[in-house]
Amino acid sequence: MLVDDWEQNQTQRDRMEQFARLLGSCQRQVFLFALGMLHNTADAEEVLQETNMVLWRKFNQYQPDTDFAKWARQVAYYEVLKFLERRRSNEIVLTASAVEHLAAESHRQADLADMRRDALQKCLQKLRDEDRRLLTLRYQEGEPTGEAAKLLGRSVQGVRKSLHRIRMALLGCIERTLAAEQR
Amino acid sequence: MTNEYRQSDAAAESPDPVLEYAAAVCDGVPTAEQARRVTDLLNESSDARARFVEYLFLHGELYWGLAASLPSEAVASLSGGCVDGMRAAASKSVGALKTVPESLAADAGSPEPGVGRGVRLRTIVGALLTAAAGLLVAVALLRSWRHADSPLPLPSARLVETFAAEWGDDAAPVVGEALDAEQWWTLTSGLAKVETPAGATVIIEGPARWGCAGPERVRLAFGALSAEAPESARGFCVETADARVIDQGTSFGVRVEPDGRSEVHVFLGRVAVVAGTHDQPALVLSGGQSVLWSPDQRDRLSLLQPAASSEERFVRTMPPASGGSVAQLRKAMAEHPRLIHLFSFEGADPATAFRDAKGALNLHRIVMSGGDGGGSLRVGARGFDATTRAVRFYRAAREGNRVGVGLVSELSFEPPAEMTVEMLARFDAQPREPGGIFSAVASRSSRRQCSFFVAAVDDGRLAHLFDADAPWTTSAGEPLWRPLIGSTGDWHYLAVRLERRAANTRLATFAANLSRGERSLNCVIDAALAPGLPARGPLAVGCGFADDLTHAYPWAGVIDELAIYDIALAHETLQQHLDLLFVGLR
Repeated sequence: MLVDDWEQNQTQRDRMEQFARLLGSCQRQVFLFALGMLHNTADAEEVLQETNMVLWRKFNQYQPDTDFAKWARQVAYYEVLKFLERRRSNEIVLTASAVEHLAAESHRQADLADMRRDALQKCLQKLRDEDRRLLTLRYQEGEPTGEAAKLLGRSVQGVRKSLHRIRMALLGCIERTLAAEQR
Repeated sequence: MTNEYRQSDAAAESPDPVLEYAAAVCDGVPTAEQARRVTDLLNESSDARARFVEYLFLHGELYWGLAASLPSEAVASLSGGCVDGMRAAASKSVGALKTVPESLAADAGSPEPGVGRGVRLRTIVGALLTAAAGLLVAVALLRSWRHADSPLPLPSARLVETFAAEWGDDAAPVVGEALDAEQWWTLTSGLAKVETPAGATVIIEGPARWGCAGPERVRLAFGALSAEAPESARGFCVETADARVIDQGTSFGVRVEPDGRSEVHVFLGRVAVVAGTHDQPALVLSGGQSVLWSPDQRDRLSLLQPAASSEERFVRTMPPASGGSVAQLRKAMAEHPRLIHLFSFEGADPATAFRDAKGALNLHRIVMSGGDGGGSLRVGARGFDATTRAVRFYRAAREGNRVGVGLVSELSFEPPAEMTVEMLARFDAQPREPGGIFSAVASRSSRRQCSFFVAAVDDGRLAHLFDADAPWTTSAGEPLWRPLIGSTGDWHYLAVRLERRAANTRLATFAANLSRGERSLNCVIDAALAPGLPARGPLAVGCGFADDLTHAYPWAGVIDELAIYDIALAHETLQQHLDLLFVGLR
């Protein structure tokens, strides 16, 4: 009986370890997928947490040989819809059909996320110091655009334009980097 | 700027409603009108959807990757300003953990305010693994987790140089390496120079507790720093518990005392001082201005009147690395096998600063009768160089022999048969008082049995006395300390050798004017025989004892690195110690 208990507990422990490992490997992807539909980082993080809970509850339904990240995104999709349903009354949201289209596109791009992220890392190194500094303020130190503008002694509009320019530059760089790697 | 980069700049100029909306979304300012216009495009065009999601994913990658290195302990221990921005950023990623089933969350602990995303996510995994009771597996998993979601590389502030730096119990930063944003450092003494990616340079002066809150943010719990921020580093920020000091292209200094009193001095250009969690600057200081506030004034900074700035209160350049320093003298003193008492006066708080680092004669502050309110003793005063802190004593301008503040030990000093008193001192008396006695180190056991180991009398002569009924033994020739008008005195290295000879004390006194760069010891009293013997009794530093054993004769100036040995040190040893101040260890 004791041996049975131990074996049962061991199986449970193995299961948890496996879940933790799989969960850790897909957090960024699920976050990006949710962001692609929700357009707000805080909302995407909230959905990510809800998704994590659902994944844990339904983990016994997961087929070990299948793509956990894809399954996680499917769960996240329903969590996004539930989230939008709760928020729809007082938030700016796109139409249901637009969200549906974006979900498909987000699924597609989530599959490419790791590759694009590697390219992004290289592109960040090419930024000018002042642009890197602005990104640091905005993203690493978490300053809203308005606060970053104050810290830099610039107008809010100017900082927004700069951030847009930097993002566009990075997107262009990512495309070129990926194209060069495929050659 | 690279060519690739320029091409992309051009793309940013072309109006694209989808990307404009994406940018507005990323900046948190989308409008309903924009959403309505973009909806049709997103429904109709797969290319528009791809552009939109690519843009959002880039925003998400930057947010996810760069925000993961937010500080935790640092955020929790400071408040206000820049830090609140970080706290907000960190807390936005905290929230749904409460929904973790209790069976999982029980062992995970609660997320602290200011804990970043990575920490929070690891907490979930930690809960799972704790339930699994597999510590080793947990470590391995956390490593793989970090690998999977490691932050994107960004430049960090770096420690580029130190001078005679002594670090506290926590690990010391390494010169040349990036400074971890989650780490606080305790610089016990000496100097540390930090450079930020944007080109700001910061010199931190020990004792100080500091860290980097981000590539362009230095936080200061206490201590002093000076900063030079070129135009490229505009916006560089120093955070204290009360305020953010934001550079607007300038050089400035910030000092925070352990009791919370804070000072900002601007040497050139302008800085904005933003209080607490406010958005707008409470003050904008220009070159030549300073402001000082106490913790109870932190909410009223905008009401403070700027005063003149003082560059002397900050170290703005690093000393040559090959030179000597007080820190090196201190080290030599501490390592001498015959040392019996050492007062280095380092440390930000009185308990530490007044500690006897070798013996048990810890000092405490005494206010002489009538001395209340007239002035105070200053811990952490500027020493001879940037590697040390000293104590400035108070002596009243009138009735100075009786009114002042000094330091006295509770336990008695037991004078050995032979001994050496070695110290650094600055004498600031002005004007000289007729009959004035200025005692730097003394003890006394009775009306007659007194020890003025180091004192100044009359016209500024160095003097000693061991029998109250005998005359002072003073230096011959020119007084060591000339009368001063409107300036502080010179720093001197002093060493007094005492040897018991029956009922008398054989004296030899050496001095060197450090402020004038004297590198050779001058023997100012050579083998004089003074009546009387050193007295047993409490040790007074920065003051002495009157006939009735009450505290009296306060020193007027600054004292540092007081060492007492139970041997009459050889002239060569004393000269070696003096050398350490100028040429350092060879």
